[in-house]
Amino acid sequence: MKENPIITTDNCAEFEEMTLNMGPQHPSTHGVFHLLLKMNGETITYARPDIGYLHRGMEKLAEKRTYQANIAMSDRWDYIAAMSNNFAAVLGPEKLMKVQVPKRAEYIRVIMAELNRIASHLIFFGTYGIDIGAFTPFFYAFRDREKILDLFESVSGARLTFNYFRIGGVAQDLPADFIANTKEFIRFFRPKLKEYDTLLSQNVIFRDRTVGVGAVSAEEAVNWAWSGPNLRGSGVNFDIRKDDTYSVYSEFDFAVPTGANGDCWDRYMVRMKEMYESTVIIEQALAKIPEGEIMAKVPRVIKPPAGEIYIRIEAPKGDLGVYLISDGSVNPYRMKVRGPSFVNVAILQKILKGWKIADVVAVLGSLDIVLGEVDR
Amino acid sequence: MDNLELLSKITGKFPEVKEFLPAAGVLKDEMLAVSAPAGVILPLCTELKNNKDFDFDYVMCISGVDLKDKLQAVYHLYSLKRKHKLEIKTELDAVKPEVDSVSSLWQGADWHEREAYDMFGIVFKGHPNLTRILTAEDFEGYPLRKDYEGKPDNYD
Amino acid sequence: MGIILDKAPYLIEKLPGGGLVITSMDWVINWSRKSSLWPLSFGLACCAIEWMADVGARNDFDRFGVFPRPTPRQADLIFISGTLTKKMAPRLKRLYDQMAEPKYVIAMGSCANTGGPFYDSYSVVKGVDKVIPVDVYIAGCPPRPENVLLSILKLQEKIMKESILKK
Repeated sequence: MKENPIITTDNCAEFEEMTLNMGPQHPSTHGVFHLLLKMNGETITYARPDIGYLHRGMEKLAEKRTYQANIAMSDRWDYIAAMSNNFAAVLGPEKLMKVQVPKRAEYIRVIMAELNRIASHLIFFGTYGIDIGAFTPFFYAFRDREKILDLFESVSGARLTFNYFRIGGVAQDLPADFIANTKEFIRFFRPKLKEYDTLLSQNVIFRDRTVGVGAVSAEEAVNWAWSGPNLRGSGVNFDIRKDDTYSVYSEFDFAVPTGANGDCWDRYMVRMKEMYESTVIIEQALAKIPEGEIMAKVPRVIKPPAGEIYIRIEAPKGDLGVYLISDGSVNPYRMKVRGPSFVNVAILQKILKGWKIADVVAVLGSLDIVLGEVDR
Repeated sequence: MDNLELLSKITGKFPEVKEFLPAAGVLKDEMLAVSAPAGVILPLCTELKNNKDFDFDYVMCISGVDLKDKLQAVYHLYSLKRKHKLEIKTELDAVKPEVDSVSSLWQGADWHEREAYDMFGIVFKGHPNLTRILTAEDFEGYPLRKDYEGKPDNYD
Repeated sequence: MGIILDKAPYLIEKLPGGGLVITSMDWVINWSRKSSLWPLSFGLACCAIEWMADVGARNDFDRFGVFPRPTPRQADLIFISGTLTKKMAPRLKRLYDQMAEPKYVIAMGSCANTGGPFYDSYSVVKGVDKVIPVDVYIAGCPPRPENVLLSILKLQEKIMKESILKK
């Protein structure tokens, strides 16, 4: 009688390899993302991320649009955090034109960017719960996110694509009750963070699925040019708000949470702690916000002088860079967008090897990618 | 390390690397920019990454630019340890743009180079998997070149 | 549904009082179809986030019997929530083909209607109706969740006007 063969790493080539196409339509890919997996049994032997299913040609279109129109286009890069994209889109022309943005406008921008960071991380929290198999966090996260969207709606009139920043300031001043409402929101939201921890962070199943899974060392993370919460989850203390500061971030006092092991749980926890730090920044900004103008004096037709500039900001997903070349006309000559998700997701071809098929969703979800930014 | 010191150290090691000076009336941000011939990119980047004086461990961005008569590859590098930045520009032939790949030094350069290939047709020699990344595999032409004109297909 | 829905209605219609039977059957079938519209949980771009807000607690389209399914085989409604690119178009066509009849399509947002802000891009399909037929169009970039709820009501109205007699 023939014994059942035992699969080891030496003889695994004899067994049939299975190819699995995950995506472009798959509920856990957070959009249209295609992952080609080859497996030996349940173990991944080869992974190839395939992107471009949402490639809308933003960089080509940017060359046909005016600078003001490009702010509206920037809403759709990382559509979960449109305020941060607005921030990156206006900083370049402002620096080229040497516009001095009024202090009040800078504070409003920081408040909006931080509120948007919370909203973005809440979507991560909700969808990551679904990825791991818990549906409830999704409802909690979206319930609380709606409150942030109400605040955004009161200032910009939109829920998702705000188009609120302008070159030289912001579109409108804060409504009279905005500051009170935001303080009310922070009072409401801080206890909720504890609720999330009891709901998901310390859940035994959740920890079993994430602790130690998809670990990335600090050197590897830097070599792959990771940024944002993913990089900090691997223990590298790098935050552009602190290390390469822009706007008025240097006036605020906040901590930069980091992880230790670089696994999925660390990346998750960094985001949960970041939400608290964002409320700290917002609270300080609300206390210190000065009165005054919200727009600098800028010409009606924006024509930055010929030149080039590279600016970067700390978006919720990481290092969002814009390389802008102006030839003195109303349209940019070249506008390259360095989306953090685009860079963060490339590592999948390396780190998925050796993990089980069920871990793929845990690792992919923990990177928190947005396909609008990956493909642009 | 400030920009001047960084520049003198680089040009001391690589005399063919020059400081990039924009044309008259053209603005440039405070980041140090150097222009290097395409042949020197790989040794230059190897030095920048491995020499502890420079310590450029992080690729911010690699992008292509179409200058109409020629193409340009632009590298933005950053050092997480020393907090300094560097921009390297290299001009490439418009018909046969070729430059050595740096993805063996920084894995993060992998997809940036594939994107530059996809959008501009810049060939990065030595890249492990230089294929189209954003557009479909059967896509024709390089969309971000200034002379690109899309052909209408059955979806238009 | 084979013989029962394909042939029987035409025979019944010829009988005396058959029209009454047909309209009653129509009403029952349409009512059950409109009351459990199961959409494919499928998102393309920005609009998918607003679509998710509809799943969430505040808007909650489960009230209308709309409950997302992860596979096209179980779905009878698909929201095209976002920009359709030329690379994605063949895949979308395939997803649509995998859905069982009767199937409905709601084009959500400007991109799905006409190409939206990306109308002059080299890689964007100018309107999803170039690939698959659309039942309801929603305007907006992105549409508000209330607008999505309205589109479901409009689709239900449309379903109630259907008949098993394919005239």
